[in-house]
Amino acid sequence: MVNLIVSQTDQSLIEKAFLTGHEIAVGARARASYYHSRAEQVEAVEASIEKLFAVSRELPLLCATLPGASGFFVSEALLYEFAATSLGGRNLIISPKDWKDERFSDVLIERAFEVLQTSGTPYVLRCLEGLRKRKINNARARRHGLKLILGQRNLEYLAVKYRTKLRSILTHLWGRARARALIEALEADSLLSAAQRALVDVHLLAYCPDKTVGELHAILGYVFGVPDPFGRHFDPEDTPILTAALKAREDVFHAEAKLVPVEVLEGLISTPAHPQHASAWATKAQRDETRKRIRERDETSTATRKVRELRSDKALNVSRETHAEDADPLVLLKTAYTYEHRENAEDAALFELLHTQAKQAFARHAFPLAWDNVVIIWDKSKSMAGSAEALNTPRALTEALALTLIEASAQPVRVYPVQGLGTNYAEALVAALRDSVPDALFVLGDGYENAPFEGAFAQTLALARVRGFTAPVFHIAPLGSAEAGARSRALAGTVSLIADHRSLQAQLEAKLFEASPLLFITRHIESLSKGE
Amino acid sequence: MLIQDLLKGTRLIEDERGRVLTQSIHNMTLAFLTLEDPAHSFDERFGNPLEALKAGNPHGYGTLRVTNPTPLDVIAPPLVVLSKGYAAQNHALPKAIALPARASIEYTDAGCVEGSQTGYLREDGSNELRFFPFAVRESLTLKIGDKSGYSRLYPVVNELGARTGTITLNYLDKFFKAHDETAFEYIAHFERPAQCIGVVIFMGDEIFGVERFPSFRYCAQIWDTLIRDVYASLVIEAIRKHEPALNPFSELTPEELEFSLAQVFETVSNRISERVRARLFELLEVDFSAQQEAGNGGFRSSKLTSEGYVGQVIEAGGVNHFVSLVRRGSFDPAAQRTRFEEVSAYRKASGEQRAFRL
Repeated sequence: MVNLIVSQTDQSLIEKAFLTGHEIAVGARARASYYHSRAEQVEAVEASIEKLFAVSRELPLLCATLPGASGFFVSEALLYEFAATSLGGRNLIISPKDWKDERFSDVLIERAFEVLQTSGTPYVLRCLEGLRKRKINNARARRHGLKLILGQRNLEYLAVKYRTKLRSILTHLWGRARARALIEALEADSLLSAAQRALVDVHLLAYCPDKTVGELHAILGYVFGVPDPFGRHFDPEDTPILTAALKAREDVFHAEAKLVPVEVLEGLISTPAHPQHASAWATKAQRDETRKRIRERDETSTATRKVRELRSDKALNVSRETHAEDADPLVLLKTAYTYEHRENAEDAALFELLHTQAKQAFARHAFPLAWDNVVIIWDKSKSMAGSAEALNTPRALTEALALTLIEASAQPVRVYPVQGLGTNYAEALVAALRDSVPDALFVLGDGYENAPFEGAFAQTLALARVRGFTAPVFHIAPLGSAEAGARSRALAGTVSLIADHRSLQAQLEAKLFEASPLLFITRHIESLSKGE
Repeated sequence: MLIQDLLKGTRLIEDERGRVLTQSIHNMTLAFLTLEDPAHSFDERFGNPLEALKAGNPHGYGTLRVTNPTPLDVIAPPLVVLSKGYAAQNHALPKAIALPARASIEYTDAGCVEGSQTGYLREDGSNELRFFPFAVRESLTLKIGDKSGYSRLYPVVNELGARTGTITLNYLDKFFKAHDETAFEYIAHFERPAQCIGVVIFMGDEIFGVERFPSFRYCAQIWDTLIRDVYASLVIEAIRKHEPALNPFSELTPEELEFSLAQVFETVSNRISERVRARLFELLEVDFSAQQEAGNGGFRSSKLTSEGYVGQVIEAGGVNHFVSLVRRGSFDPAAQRTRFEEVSAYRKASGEQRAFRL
């Protein structure tokens, strides 16, 4: 059992910091918003994590392990924790003994990596590359990094798909000399010396006891570019993906090339030295045909990727099953938008299909809502289009929130869109209250109200409150804004939060728990210590 | 020269209910201008000043040579040229300028805006171009043609600092550094309507300025910079002076407050729209004296002055491509309105009198 040491003096500081951190963790994205560049968004999140750490060092990781924490926030929180080392910062929540000696910090780090993994492998690799870029090279960081990478069940596939990244990460984590020594030990024809045995046991097998030396030789040999990764004592059939990748160096169309990621095959054949380059990649027509053939046989692409590639599939005349129902619903929405407002009947049908699939995905993840009669004011103004770097992201996130609420509600939800010239939340509020009084009202949007004047919503709501309207009003922003220090831009008079569709339930619960956030923190730590 | 002539061909943008479209932050409201005939937007003629122009001062402090190497004409609001990546003295112009295609013009009424920094600005396009804040546009306009030397804009920069509570001394970039983060937020507040060609700027209930641009495309290209550099300064000043935010609900009478919420909101929205129209209508009769500058490539720039307003117009071929007007600090339109109403009341009363008594 983890010992909490929050004093009465520190309680409100911790609670306030945690609620702020929770909001930022969910809303933090490294992409540009409509108004701020990527660099500004990144800087805002980094500054927020630094502030959280300064309050109490557990806070960034506690927030990173909450449901809905964005991959970007989790990655930044991990890197900050590693850079700070186990000696940095102060513990105001968890006793230093539990944090360090009993290694509860390791529990949090591992849990944060699990959360990061749900955002996708690229996030994990980007985080580990961050160790190299920020020159973080302490034993704890190395231990966690190696465990994470070498413990991956699909390490063979990752080696093929992310070969260069893996080499860079492992070289940093082991150090060049050790990496070289390990490869040499794996390559050794004769029995390993005691020193080599110890090296392999401590720095390799300790992190992946489920893999054999032969398998590791093949995988790491491929990553580090040894001439014959398989050596004399290993059967290539035991690593079919590696075998296929090596064979693709001669022929990208061989039968098992379907196991190799598309970009790896395209990367191989695009090299002039490849035997098939002249016949299958030299002209645009050849490239298109090659891409078509590779895609049609590919068995590695996820449904989400296939949805993203729908437009290029059409251009290349690729025929393959997409399984859109398995795709990330946000990607379904964003892709659907690209087919919106088109006169072409086929595109219009595709918009409907993708949009419907997204709605069904949200329906599958519906959670019980605390209110019956719910109203949504849905911001569809220009600012929700996002920036060129992240086109349609705020719009998709907002629609995801709306669909989540609509599916969660037991009764039909009334929706009042805000669109047209200017962002007029007040007009939508008036329309909503004119029709009937809701049990709860949600305003979904970035909060940049300008029409008929800034503050109109708050003043209209205040008037409504005087006239007896008592229902809670939540303002949910899909993104943090750089100028608000990665927090949401609050609409006055509302309970304001940042959430996406995955974290909405937890965020609403958190707001409901706002009366006692320490209780919420305690429950969260309890569930972590039980490994839930 | 009447304002109605300066803004000939434009009208206020309205929403779908016929109300004037307004957007605001704190106590600054923008109403938007468009063209009666969209075909008169010179989208293909004018380039983006922030991308097209190169500026430097090879011939000494207090001058600025601006070059337009593109095949499009370019008009720029009062420019601020900031050195980037090397040390040089930042400079600014007190006026809007027009450069015909592939022209290069040297302005001798530029001013240093970076105190004791030395170094000449390069003309290789590496400098950052920004626009001069609107909060001191009156003082800036009155510096047009000033021959006092390279320090001619120091008082304007200091005035900006005083108005906005920023310790600028003679360094304009200190204002930008202090307020850019806030000013960026203001970009988020204003969603430029399609086919926007100008703005009417209100502070509180009164018109503070009017600007008109060469084309819809031009307006779109410089919009974010206009909000960030030019108009944000007005809000920053207002907040510093604790000027109250807009509260039209406070003007409602007790009888009006008895109406339904929807009717109350309708009343407030209509009142805002009517007030914008009324104020602009009043403004149309303002008559300016125009002091023309040396023209170039068919463009004629004039400095405008009247009792209540100052500004600038750039015209070519009978079309006012750029107009910028700002209310003088000494002018109180509400007081003048009251006097006008009193005079009107006297006139009416005298017209109704049947006998005089002295």
